[in-house]
Amino acid sequence: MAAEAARFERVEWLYDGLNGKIIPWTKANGGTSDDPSVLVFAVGPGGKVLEKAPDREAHQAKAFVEWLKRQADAWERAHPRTKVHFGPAEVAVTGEGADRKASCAVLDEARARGAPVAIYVGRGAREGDDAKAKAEAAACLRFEKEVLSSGEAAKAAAGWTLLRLDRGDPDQAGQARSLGAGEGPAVLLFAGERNEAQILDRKATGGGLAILLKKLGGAGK
Amino acid sequence: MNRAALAASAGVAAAATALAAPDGWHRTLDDGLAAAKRSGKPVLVVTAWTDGQ
Repeated sequence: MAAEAARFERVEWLYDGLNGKIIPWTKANGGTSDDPSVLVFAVGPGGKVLEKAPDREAHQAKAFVEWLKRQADAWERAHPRTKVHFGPAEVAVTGEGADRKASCAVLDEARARGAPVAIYVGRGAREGDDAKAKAEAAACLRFEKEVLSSGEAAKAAAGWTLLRLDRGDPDQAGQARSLGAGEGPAVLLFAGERNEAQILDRKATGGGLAILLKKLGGAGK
Repeated sequence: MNRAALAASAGVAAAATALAAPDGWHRTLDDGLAAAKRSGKPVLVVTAWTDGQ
């Protein structure tokens, strides 16, 4: 079980009383009791509950290991661990309506310093996606498995700030659009005093990405 | 399976689960989500009373 559990970040969240915030959270995510026993959930990094373990699986060791494995396998199939590891960009939104504006402080600060920044614009699959969104998510998954899993590109990315925007999130999609990427997959490379990004689209290769990372990263130093 | 058994099975000392979160376990959902954003892993959330019921 330890090996399967290690595929997750693990949270032991102790109930904070009947009027606390945890029990309402369990009830909003498949729990049914005002006074629950041990419950188990698989949750995505964005906070969305992927599945609540059925009691018959959460309370029986063998079934629970199988449930953990199923959840981890499904997550890793949909979110392959890439060798070029882009961390999620924290996007802040200000204003309303036409004045609504998304920005990423880490990106802005790095660009102000002229430090090399690469942004991967991808799209994770979501329930309710239409055909176009599904196709884009599938293309992003292929790109992650092929281009972003290039060891050569991972090596060349040393010294770069690597951020990821998910176009399934409207604010992150807005930020990507403002940077020049209206669809995924794409990698935007900012380095040195250039204000415009060098953009690699879905036709890119791992080798091509590595060459640009080396070239622009060197120019930005 | 109670919380202690779950944690112990996951390679964590059962005694450590009595009052404190076992090593390698986050104590709040927010902490777990922040770590998941860095690691790219999903989050396993176990909710329980302090006595493991």
